[in-house]
Amino acid sequence: MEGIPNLPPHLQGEFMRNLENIQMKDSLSLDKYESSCVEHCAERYIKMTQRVGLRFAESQALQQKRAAEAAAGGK
Amino acid sequence: MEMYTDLFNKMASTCFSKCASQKHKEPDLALGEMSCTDRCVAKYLEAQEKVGIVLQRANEVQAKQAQALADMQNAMGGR
Repeated sequence: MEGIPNLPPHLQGEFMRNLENIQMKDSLSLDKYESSCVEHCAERYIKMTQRVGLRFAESQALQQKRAAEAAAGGK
Repeated sequence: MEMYTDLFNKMASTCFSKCASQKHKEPDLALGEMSCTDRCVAKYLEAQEKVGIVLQRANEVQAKQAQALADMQNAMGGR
Protein backbone atom coordinates (compact mmCIF):
# COMPACT_ATOMS: atom_id res chain seq x y z
CA MET A 1 0.00 0.00 0.00
CA GLU A 2 1.40 3.34 -0.98
CA GLY A 3 1.04 6.45 1.01
CA ILE A 4 1.57 4.83 4.38
CA PRO A 5 3.81 7.17 6.27
CA ASN A 6 6.85 5.55 7.67
CA LEU A 7 5.82 5.55 11.27
CA PRO A 8 8.15 4.56 14.05
CA PRO A 9 7.52 0.90 14.97
CA HIS A 10 5.65 1.60 18.20
CA LEU A 11 3.05 3.65 16.29
CA GLN A 12 2.78 1.25 13.35
CA GLY A 13 0.91 -1.32 15.43
CA GLU A 14 -1.55 1.33 16.59
CA PHE A 15 -2.01 2.58 13.04
CA MET A 16 -2.81 -0.90 11.75
CA ARG A 17 -5.29 -1.46 14.60
CA ASN A 18 -7.06 1.83 13.85
CA LEU A 19 -7.19 0.93 10.18
CA GLU A 20 -8.77 -2.42 11.03
CA ASN A 21 -11.37 -0.74 13.24
CA ILE A 22 -12.32 1.70 10.50
CA GLN A 23 -12.60 -1.14 8.00
CA MET A 24 -14.84 -3.01 10.40
CA LYS A 25 -17.14 0.01 10.78
CA ASP A 26 -17.46 0.21 7.00
CA SER A 27 -18.19 -3.50 6.77
CA LEU A 28 -21.19 -4.46 4.66
CA SER A 29 -21.98 -7.57 6.67
CA LEU A 30 -22.81 -8.18 10.32
CA ASP A 31 -20.09 -9.06 12.76
CA LYS A 32 -20.50 -11.88 15.29
CA TYR A 33 -21.96 -9.67 17.99
CA GLU A 34 -24.44 -7.99 15.65
CA SER A 35 -25.42 -11.33 14.18
CA SER A 36 -26.23 -13.00 17.50
CA CYS A 37 -27.92 -9.84 18.73
CA VAL A 38 -30.26 -9.77 15.74
CA GLU A 39 -31.02 -13.46 16.08
CA HIS A 40 -31.76 -13.17 19.81
CA CYS A 41 -33.87 -10.08 19.22
CA ALA A 42 -36.02 -11.88 16.66
CA GLU A 43 -36.48 -14.89 18.95
CA ARG A 44 -37.38 -12.71 21.90
CA TYR A 45 -39.84 -10.71 19.81
CA ILE A 46 -41.59 -13.90 18.75
CA LYS A 47 -41.71 -15.19 22.34
CA MET A 48 -43.07 -11.91 23.58
CA THR A 49 -45.71 -11.82 20.84
CA GLN A 50 -46.79 -15.31 21.92
CA ARG A 51 -47.07 -14.21 25.53
CA VAL A 52 -49.01 -11.07 24.55
CA GLY A 53 -51.37 -13.27 22.56
CA LEU A 54 -51.87 -15.57 25.53
CA ARG A 55 -52.68 -12.72 27.94
CA PHE A 56 -54.89 -11.04 25.33
CA ALA A 57 -56.89 -14.24 24.86
CA GLU A 58 -57.26 -14.61 28.64
CA SER A 59 -58.50 -11.04 28.89
CA GLN A 60 -60.98 -11.58 26.06
CA ALA A 61 -62.30 -14.78 27.64
CA LEU A 62 -62.78 -13.03 30.97
CA GLN A 63 -64.57 -10.13 29.28
CA GLN A 64 -66.89 -12.50 27.43
CA LYS A 65 -67.60 -14.40 30.61
CA ARG A 66 -68.56 -11.18 32.40
CA ALA A 67 -70.74 -10.07 29.50
CA ALA A 68 -72.52 -13.42 29.46
CA GLU A 69 -73.07 -13.26 33.23
CA ALA A 70 -74.39 -9.71 32.96
CA ALA A 71 -76.79 -10.73 30.19
CA ALA A 72 -77.96 -13.80 32.12
CA GLY A 73 -78.22 -11.90 35.39
CA GLY A 74 -80.30 -9.18 33.74
CA LYS A 75 -83.09 -11.59 32.84
CA MET B 1 -61.65 -7.88 12.79
CA GLU B 2 -58.95 -5.68 11.32
CA MET B 3 -59.14 -3.61 14.49
CA TYR B 4 -57.99 -6.58 16.51
CA THR B 5 -54.99 -7.27 14.28
CA ASP B 6 -54.00 -3.63 14.47
CA LEU B 7 -54.47 -3.52 18.24
CA PHE B 8 -52.48 -6.71 18.70
CA ASN B 9 -49.57 -5.59 16.53
CA LYS B 10 -49.31 -2.20 18.18
CA MET B 11 -49.57 -3.72 21.65
CA ALA B 12 -46.90 -6.32 20.93
CA SER B 13 -44.60 -3.66 19.49
CA THR B 14 -45.15 -1.24 22.37
CA CYS B 15 -44.66 -3.84 25.08
CA PHE B 16 -41.54 -5.14 23.37
CA SER B 17 -40.04 -1.65 23.30
CA LYS B 18 -40.94 -1.08 26.93
CA CYS B 19 -40.14 -4.44 28.47
CA ALA B 20 -37.43 -6.20 26.48
CA SER B 21 -33.88 -5.12 27.18
CA GLN B 22 -32.23 -3.94 23.98
CA LYS B 23 -29.05 -5.84 24.73
CA HIS B 24 -30.51 -9.15 23.55
CA LYS B 25 -27.81 -11.23 25.17
CA GLU B 26 -30.04 -14.26 25.47
CA PRO B 27 -32.60 -15.74 23.06
CA ASP B 28 -35.13 -16.15 25.90
CA LEU B 29 -37.12 -13.59 27.84
CA ALA B 30 -36.05 -13.02 31.42
CA LEU B 31 -38.51 -13.48 34.30
CA GLY B 32 -38.75 -9.72 34.84
CA GLU B 33 -39.39 -9.14 31.17
CA MET B 34 -42.20 -11.69 31.22
CA SER B 35 -43.98 -10.13 34.19
CA CYS B 36 -43.46 -6.72 32.60
CA THR B 37 -45.22 -8.10 29.50
CA ASP B 38 -48.18 -9.30 31.56
CA ARG B 39 -48.55 -5.91 33.22
CA CYS B 40 -48.08 -4.14 29.90
CA VAL B 41 -50.88 -6.09 28.22
CA ALA B 42 -53.28 -5.58 31.12
CA LYS B 43 -52.65 -1.83 31.28
CA TYR B 44 -52.66 -1.37 27.54
CA LEU B 45 -56.08 -3.00 27.21
CA GLU B 46 -57.50 -1.03 30.12
CA ALA B 47 -56.17 2.22 28.67
CA GLN B 48 -57.61 1.27 25.29
CA GLU B 49 -61.03 0.73 26.88
CA LYS B 50 -60.93 4.11 28.63
CA VAL B 51 -59.98 5.89 25.43
CA GLY B 52 -62.86 4.14 23.69
CA ILE B 53 -65.31 5.40 26.31
CA VAL B 54 -64.05 8.99 26.05
CA LEU B 55 -64.29 8.85 22.26
CA GLN B 56 -67.80 7.45 22.44
CA ARG B 57 -68.88 10.22 24.81
CA ALA B 58 -67.39 12.86 22.48
CA ASN B 59 -69.23 11.32 19.53
CA GLU B 60 -72.52 11.40 21.43
CA VAL B 61 -72.06 15.07 22.31
CA GLN B 62 -71.23 15.90 18.72
CA ALA B 63 -74.22 13.92 17.44
CA LYS B 64 -76.54 15.77 19.84
CA GLN B 65 -75.16 19.12 18.69
CA ALA B 66 -75.57 18.17 15.03
CA GLN B 67 -79.14 17.07 15.73
CA ALA B 68 -79.93 20.29 17.58
CA LEU B 69 -78.56 22.33 14.70
CA ALA B 70 -80.58 20.32 12.17
CA ASP B 71 -83.74 20.73 14.26
CA MET B 72 -83.19 24.46 14.46
CA GLN B 73 -82.69 24.72 10.71
CA ASN B 74 -85.80 22.69 10.07
CA ALA B 75 -87.83 24.85 12.40
CA MET B 76 -86.62 28.04 10.72
CA GLY B 77 -86.89 26.76 7.18
CA GLY B 78 -90.27 25.20 7.81
CA ARG B 79 -92.25 28.43 7.43
